Amino acid sequence: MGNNVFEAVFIDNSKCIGCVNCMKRCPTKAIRIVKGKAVVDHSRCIGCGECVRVCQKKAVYPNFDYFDIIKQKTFKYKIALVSPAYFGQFNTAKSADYLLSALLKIGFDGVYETARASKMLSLLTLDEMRQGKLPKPCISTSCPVCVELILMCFHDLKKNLAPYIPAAHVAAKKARKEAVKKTGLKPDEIGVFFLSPCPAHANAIRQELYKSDCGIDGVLSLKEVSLKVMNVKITDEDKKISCVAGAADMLTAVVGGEVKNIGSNRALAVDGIENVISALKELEDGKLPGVEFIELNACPGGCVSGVMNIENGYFAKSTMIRLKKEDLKNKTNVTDSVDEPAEYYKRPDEWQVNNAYYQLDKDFKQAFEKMRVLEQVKAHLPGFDCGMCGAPSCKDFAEDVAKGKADIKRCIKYRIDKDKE
Amino acid sequence: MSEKRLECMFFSYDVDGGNFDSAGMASVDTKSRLKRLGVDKELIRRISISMYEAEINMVIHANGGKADVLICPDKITVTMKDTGQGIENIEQAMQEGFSTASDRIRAMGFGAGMGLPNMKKYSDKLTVLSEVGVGTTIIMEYYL
Repeated sequence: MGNNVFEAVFIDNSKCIGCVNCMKRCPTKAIRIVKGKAVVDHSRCIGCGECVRVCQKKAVYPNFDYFDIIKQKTFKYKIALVSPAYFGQFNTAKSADYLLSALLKIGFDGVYETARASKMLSLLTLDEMRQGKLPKPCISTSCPVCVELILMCFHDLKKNLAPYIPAAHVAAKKARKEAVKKTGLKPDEIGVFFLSPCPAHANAIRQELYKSDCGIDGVLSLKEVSLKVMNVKITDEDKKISCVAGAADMLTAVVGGEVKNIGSNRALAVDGIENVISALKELEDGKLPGVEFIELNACPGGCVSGVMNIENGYFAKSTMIRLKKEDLKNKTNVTDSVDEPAEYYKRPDEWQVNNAYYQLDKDFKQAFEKMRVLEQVKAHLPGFDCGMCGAPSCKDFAEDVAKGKADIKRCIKYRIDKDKE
Repeated sequence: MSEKRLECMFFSYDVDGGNFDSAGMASVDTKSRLKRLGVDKELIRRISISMYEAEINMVIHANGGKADVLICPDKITVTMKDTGQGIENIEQAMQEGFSTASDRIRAMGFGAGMGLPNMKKYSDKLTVLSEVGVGTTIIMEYYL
C-alpha cells in the first residue's frame, strides 16, 4: 500500500444503525455518518477506542491479530509480552505466578512482563531528566493514543515528547534476546506477541509510530487471551513461572504509576481522553509552569481500563493490589537495571507531526479559499450540533462542505429555513 | 453567498473585560484558524503569544475591547482597540518589567511588565496609538 494509513477500528455495517454516539464521542472528529452508516477517516483516527466503548450495537471492532497467529510453524518458541493490566482481569486468581503459568497452557513457551521494561524506562527517564537531557516539561510517550493526539492536534508540544519507545517495545527486544540465549534458536524462529489492553498499541506498531524496530510479531487483544485463560485449569504442578516484576510494578498500568516510578515532586498524571485534551490545551497556552514530567493516559484510570479488558477498571485495580500484596509475601522482586545504551530505549529520529486534523489544504491559497467558504457556510448553520447531517458539529459540517465532502442541504435546519423563504 | 472573492478575511472578537476565565479566547480562536490555514508553526506561535499579551492587557487595564484579525495572503494584521484609560508614557511602557498592574492582578500571575515588550518582540511591526482618557489601539503586523 502506498499510503501509511491503517485501520485501528472497523465498522460492521450489518450491525451499525447510524446513530450518532461514536461520531459525537470521537475526540479527533474522525467519524461521519454516511448513508446511515458510520465511516471512519483513518487518517484522523488516533486509536483511542472510545467508539468501541460507546457503541450500543457492538458494531465497532478494534483491529487485532487473531490468536491463531501464534500457531504458525515458523515460530518455534513463542513469548507472550504481558501487560500488567492482564493480572487485573481475574478476580479469583490465587497469585500472579498462576496467571503467568496459565499462558504456557494456552500455547506460549515463555513470558516477559512489560512492567519490567516500564521500570527500566522510568529509571532512564529520571536519570536523563536530572542530567537536563529531556525537554521541560517532558511528556511520557507510553500511551500511543496521547502521542498521536499531540502529533495531530498539539504541534507545539511535539518538542516536549519524551524520546522513548513504549515499554512493550523494549520488552520485545529484551525478550527475544533472552530467548535466543536460552533456546539457541535463531531470532526469527522466536515469536513475540504482545497482549494489549487497547487497539492503539496494535495500530502504533502497524503504523510504525515509534519506529522502534521492536520485532513484535503480533498484537493480541487482552480480551481474547483472557477468555482463553479462564477456560484453563491450573494446579500447583502447573506453576512453572515466577512473576519477576509484575507484582512490584503491576500498578504501572494504573494512572499515576509512571509518576510514582519516576518519583518527581513536580509531575502530574492525567487520565481520560477529555482530561488529556484539556490539560494539553493549557500546556500549549503556556500554563502549568514548573511541571517536570507529565504522564498521560487516554483511558480513565489508566491502561487497566483499556477497551480490551474484560473486567471493570476499578475492580481490576483492586484485584491487582491484592495480587501484588500476595506476591510480595513470598519473595523479594528483582528490579531490572538500565543495562543497554540509552539509544536502545529511544526512537531513532524525531517525531513527525500529522496535518490531517487542522490543515484545510496543503496549499495556503487553497486553504484560504476553503476557510472563506467554511465561514460562509457556518453563518447558515444553526449551531445546534444535532448531528443529523452526519457530522459531529455544525463547525465540522461547515468544514466538510468547504472541503467538498458534504452538501449543505444535508442540514435539516438549513432546508427548513430555505422552504420558508 | 457572493461569488466575488475578496482579497482578505476578517474576523472580529469582543473581548470581555474583567472576565479572567474567558480572557485569551480571541487569541486561542485565532490560533486554531491559523493552524487550519497551515500557517508556519513558528509564526503561529509568535502571533498567539503577542495577541494573548495584548488581549490580557485589555482585560486588565481597559475593561475589555475589540480584537480584529485581518488575514491576507501576504500579511496578518491584529488590531486591538479599547476605550480604557490610555497609556501615559508609551516609551516607559515599552520597557521590560515596567507595569502599572494592581497587586490583585499580580497575585493572579499577571503584571510582569512584559506585555508591550513581548508584542514588539513577536510581531514584525508594532504600532501603539494611545491617548489618556480616550483609549488605546495596538496594531500588530506579521508578514507571511
